Amino acid sequence: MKVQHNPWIFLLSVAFLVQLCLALYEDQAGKFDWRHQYIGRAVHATFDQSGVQGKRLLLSTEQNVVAAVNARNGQLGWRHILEEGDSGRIDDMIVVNNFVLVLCSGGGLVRAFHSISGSLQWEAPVPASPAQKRGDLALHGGDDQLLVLSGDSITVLNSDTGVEVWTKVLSNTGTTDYVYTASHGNDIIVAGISPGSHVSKVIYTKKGEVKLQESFPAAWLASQEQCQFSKGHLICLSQDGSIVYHARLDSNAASFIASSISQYGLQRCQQLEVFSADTELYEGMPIFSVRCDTKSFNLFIIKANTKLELLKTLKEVDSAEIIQFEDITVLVTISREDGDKATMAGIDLETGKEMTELSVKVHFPQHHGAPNQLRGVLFKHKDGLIGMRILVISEDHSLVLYQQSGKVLWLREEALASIMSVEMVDLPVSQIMAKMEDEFGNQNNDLLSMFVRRFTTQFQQVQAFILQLRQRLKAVRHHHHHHQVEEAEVEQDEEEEEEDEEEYLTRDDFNLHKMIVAVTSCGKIFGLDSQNGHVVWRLYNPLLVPFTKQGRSVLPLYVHRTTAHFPHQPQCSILGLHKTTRKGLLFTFHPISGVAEENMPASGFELNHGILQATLLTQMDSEFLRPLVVLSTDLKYFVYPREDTDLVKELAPSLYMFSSNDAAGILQGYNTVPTDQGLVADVMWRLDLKREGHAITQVVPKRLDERVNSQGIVLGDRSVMYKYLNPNLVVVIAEGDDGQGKNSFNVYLVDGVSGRLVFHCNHKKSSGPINVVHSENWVVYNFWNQKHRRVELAILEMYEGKEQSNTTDFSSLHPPPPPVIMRQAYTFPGHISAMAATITEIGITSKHILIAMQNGGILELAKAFLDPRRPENPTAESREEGLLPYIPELPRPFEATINYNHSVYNIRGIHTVASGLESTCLVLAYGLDLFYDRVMPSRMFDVLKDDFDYFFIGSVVVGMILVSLLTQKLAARKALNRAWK
Amino acid sequence: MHLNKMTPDFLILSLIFALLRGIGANPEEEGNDKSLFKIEGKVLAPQSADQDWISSTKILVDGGANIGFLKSDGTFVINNVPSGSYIVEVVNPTFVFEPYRVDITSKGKTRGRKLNNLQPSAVQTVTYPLKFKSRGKAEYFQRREEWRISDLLFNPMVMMMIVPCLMFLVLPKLMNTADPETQKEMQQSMNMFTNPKQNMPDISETLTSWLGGNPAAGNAGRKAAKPRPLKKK
Amino acid sequence: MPKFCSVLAACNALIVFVGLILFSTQVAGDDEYYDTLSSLNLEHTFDSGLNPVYSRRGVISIHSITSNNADIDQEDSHTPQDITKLKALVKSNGMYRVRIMSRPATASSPAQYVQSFTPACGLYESSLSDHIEIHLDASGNLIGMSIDSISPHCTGIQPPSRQMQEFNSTVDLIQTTSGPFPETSTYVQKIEQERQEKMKGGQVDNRSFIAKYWMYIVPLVIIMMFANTADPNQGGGGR
Repeated sequence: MKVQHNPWIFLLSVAFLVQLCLALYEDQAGKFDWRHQYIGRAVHATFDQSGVQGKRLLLSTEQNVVAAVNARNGQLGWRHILEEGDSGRIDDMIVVNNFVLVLCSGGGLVRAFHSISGSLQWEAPVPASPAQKRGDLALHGGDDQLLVLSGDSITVLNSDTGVEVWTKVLSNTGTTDYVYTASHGNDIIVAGISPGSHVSKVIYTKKGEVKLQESFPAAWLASQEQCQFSKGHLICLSQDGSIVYHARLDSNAASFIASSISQYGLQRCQQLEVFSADTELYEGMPIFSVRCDTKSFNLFIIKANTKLELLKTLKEVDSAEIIQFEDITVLVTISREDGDKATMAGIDLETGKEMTELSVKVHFPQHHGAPNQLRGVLFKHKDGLIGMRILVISEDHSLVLYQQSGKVLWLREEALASIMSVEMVDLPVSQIMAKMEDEFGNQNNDLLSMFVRRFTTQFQQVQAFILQLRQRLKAVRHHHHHHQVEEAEVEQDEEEEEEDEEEYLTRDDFNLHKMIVAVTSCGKIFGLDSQNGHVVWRLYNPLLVPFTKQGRSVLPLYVHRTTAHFPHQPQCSILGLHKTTRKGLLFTFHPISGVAEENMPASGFELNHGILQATLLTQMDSEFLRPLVVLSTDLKYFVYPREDTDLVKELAPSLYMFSSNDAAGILQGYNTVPTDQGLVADVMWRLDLKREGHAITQVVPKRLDERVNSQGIVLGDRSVMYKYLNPNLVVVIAEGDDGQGKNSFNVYLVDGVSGRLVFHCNHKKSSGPINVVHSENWVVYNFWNQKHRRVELAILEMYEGKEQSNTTDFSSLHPPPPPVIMRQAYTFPGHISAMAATITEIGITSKHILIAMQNGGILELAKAFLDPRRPENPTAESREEGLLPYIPELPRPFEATINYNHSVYNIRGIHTVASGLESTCLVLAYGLDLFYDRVMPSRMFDVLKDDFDYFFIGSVVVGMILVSLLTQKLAARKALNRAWK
Repeated sequence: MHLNKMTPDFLILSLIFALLRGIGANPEEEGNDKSLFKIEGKVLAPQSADQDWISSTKILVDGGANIGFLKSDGTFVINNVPSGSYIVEVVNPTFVFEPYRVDITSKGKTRGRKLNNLQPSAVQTVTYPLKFKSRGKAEYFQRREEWRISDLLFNPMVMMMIVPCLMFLVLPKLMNTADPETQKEMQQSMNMFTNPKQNMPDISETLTSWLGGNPAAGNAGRKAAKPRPLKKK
Repeated sequence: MPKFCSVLAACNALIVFVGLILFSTQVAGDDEYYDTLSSLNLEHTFDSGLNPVYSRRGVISIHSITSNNADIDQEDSHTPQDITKLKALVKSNGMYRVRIMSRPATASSPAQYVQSFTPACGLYESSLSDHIEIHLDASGNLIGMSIDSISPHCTGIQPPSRQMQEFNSTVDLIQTTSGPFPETSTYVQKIEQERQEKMKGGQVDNRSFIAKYWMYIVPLVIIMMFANTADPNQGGGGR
């Protein structure tokens, strides 16, 4: 039965849409917004050798992205984002001819992409591997065939078409982890490790028959990390680091050969690395390196007679790579030095001599951490000089490309693809304004001194104004040139920018220019300029590790003090875990200058306890600093900064905290009890939400900085229905399945102080991913309805009723009567990855919900669509209130997509912040990509629109004045003439 | 003999029992079989597309549970899809494509149908392998209101002001005002406007004439007689 | 022989009967709300600070969840020493806590409780009158509780101790409701209705031309009449 949409309802909704949906004009696109695209932490990287040498860099990343990056300027050529999570996990990548072959073992697919255009060449299904087992790819038969080891099977595919030639299931996969496959002549080697007992190898012929299958004992092998496979050999390092065990996999040799490396005077060696480059040196025998106690880098080769030979010993090498250049095999190394510098050197392995033309000092700042991988190409220029392009992949996920002159060609900060927390901090006021404020704050009442101060301040203002004018003229010319050269996410020259930044980083008139502080999962903190997304400052703390809460990684960022309290400096801090001790770590820094705090140890304050909960108080101390109260796992309170402990003691009677044990489904609330040893937490309330297979997946409180403008809504009969505004309300969602494929989830509205369950409901046959928006007196959440196979959005709104219980104060301990919960649900035509509500300074502007969708668009949906009072049969009263009639499907107009055709994918969160203008809300969507925009939910009502026709109105006014003067004169002359007649 | 008689009854009853059990079991539950199938289709190149539309397009199954990429001719195959019902949509930043729903039975039979969220069980089949045709470019922007001179001229207020002004200025030039006859005509037309009383009795007279009948002729004659005495002055 | 037949017949009937029961439970299985709990032990404490000692207060008997039918039996809930402890709590602005066991102790885990609290002064001033809410999930398991005293705010009055002999409580049962879902059926029906109406009522506007436009025609006629009566006069007068 086909249903056509009724045209009247359609027209009505279109009419409302035209009012409610405020699209951009084409010339506004790009004025206030910017988008950055990232790829994530690179795991495999290869320079594309086809065509011009080293023109394209092919990368596969931890974020399941395959991309081609232009090697000259770092721009993205093409990018393919594979499935999220395990099914898109990239296990291995090989570049052959013009194609990139990618193995997604979790999803059981091998995909071949064309390296220049990015179009798919073929896709072949292979057995899938679970998360703990990684697959492997290898080329066979002179690049004709592809060997795929995945899911406990070995598959051979035709590398041009992807057609399967044969596939065989491996045996003994319960005990042995098969991780390596290689080609040896016409044979195929598959090898695996069984930790603690033996190593297995299987050799297949070209047709797939088992030629040889054997295992050799390796009782000394405790874990897989000790071993590396390379070129048909298995090389392992003993646990004490003194013996190297190696075995050939391609022959009948059935045991390991143990070679002691302590004979070379090397002790406590670790970090065995193999080099995969195809070298002709030593007939292609494997070369590996170990790092030993004196931080020395030792390069070994296994010769044909199975003897180890020490090729080279180097001191203080951070990372190395072997590159084949014509007939020379070069070892390229990079070593960090103090003061943001590093040295790159090249050694000819055959002669053992250093190639002086390749050694160069490069600029390698400390905030990159340690270089992890090097990839490079060497080539000859026309004039015979050797050229080099070296890519450095560092601990902070960044990619830097160096040239032979040591110059940085480009830098990609890929840590921004894994942002955990974001805050937008106001910029400081200019010096002049600060001086003016200082003037008012001063207590000195002496008339003369005040006069003198006023005079000097104003004189300085005039001076500053003239200087500003001159600088602005210079800056216009400079920036114009600058913007033509540089691109958004790639930086070329950092030094030139810094001079302009200091004057540039002051608050503008409407407080629209902010500093975006972004904390990423690797412990790197960025300060981004909100106008164009450029990185202003960076801080790196390699010991900072995120918490895991509700199945996600969380690294909370707190703003202790903003820039509003001159001369006190603003302060932010990050609470995380220490990488090694797994206890709390608090890292404090200045959000505008990006400098870590002075009296803090280098990697942050180490809190010697685990962390259960932390909260920033809304009270400010005498220095306008908000203290952070941390509840440790042994139920003790700690206050940072320590000096504010007395302030918190005074607040103790009204300080309540709660924590959740997600797997056990327990929510507990604590109050604060002052004891001799300090403040201690006592369990006051507890909820037991545990159901079979359910775990808590969302705990969403309200935003502390949100202002609710009206306490109730006006109904059609002019009476008021008061909202239930409970600032302590928390939305808790517990989801899970009952083991038979039927998922369900429960929504609980809990008062965080008293533990009262205000409301709870249950959705059967529905599953996540669930996103929650909790604001004012309503909750919006979305989920996937398994029965009807569609995305649904539900809204719960809470009202007290016709009478307000308490007009002055809200106390959870003396609660109002239970509210009326109005609810409604709709279907949504798209898949949602994140949601957030807009927020403005006073709360007058209507609320819009920003929905980030899987198809790359961010939709701005008016809250009026999500109103549980939308009637199915509209009456006169409901029309008067402005309620849209109920349509079970939510619209998805393209004009409401704030990022128009700048699609952003895999968005994990949207952060909204109020600006100085009541009509404007600043939005940053982060995930794999970044998108920043200004949103005006009720249109820009407080500032003249930007296409305001100054010229037209001015000219009309001037024209009318002239005409009226003229006609006055003419009329006077005429009257005079008539009088004379 | 009795046994022989009993067993058919027994069989029938057991059959009924077995059937009841079978109906009780839920037919829509996905089976335990792990066989995987494919979804195939083609995306037709949109009209104003440039060359890299293929690398910026991808096919999402159920919002990203499986992702398909396009080959250079626009076809796609999505592997490793278990049996069930899926939403297949084409994602491209510039062009709009309508999503379809694909049902795969546990035997591997695939069919495509239109996506109807309000009535998920409504079936309107589409061709399978799926063919995606673009509905055009996505309209992301509003048109700016442009100011045209015609907006000003056709504004009713402006017309009411300017047109009588023009008439006032232009008409006297057209008609020769020096001519006394035209002047008198103008005066009389002015009188008509300023002296409405002359018209009122006419209306009432015409009305009574219609309703009354004969006196109408007399009235009309009297009407014609009236202005003459005035004129003789 | 006849006995054998009857036995067989009885077996058949039993099989069919059992089958029908299983069938009906399978079909109805998902939506039944079982009353798994019938009585809950309520415990309370008048201690303040860490590690309070809980004592038995009463038993809540649940008769029917769906009709919110439960009552509490709390004789011997407290001693006069407890009342003195309560007065001390009121002085120190402390909290009165209650708890109910939600999951009994097993070999691997201790007993789990749900717990709630209320300001002690409210309980004291209301002379031990309170309101208890028991929250249950869809299958009838205990997920939480809350307790409130009758008096909303603490005013500092001191009721006489003879009113503190026993608790005066009301108990409410609240079960997890079903979450909201889109109302597609009514909307689809409405669309169908309107579509059918449109198809039927398309050509109804067959009234005559004059019947539709008389509102415009009549004033036109009147105006023309003015023009006719005025002009001939003027025209005649003008000569």
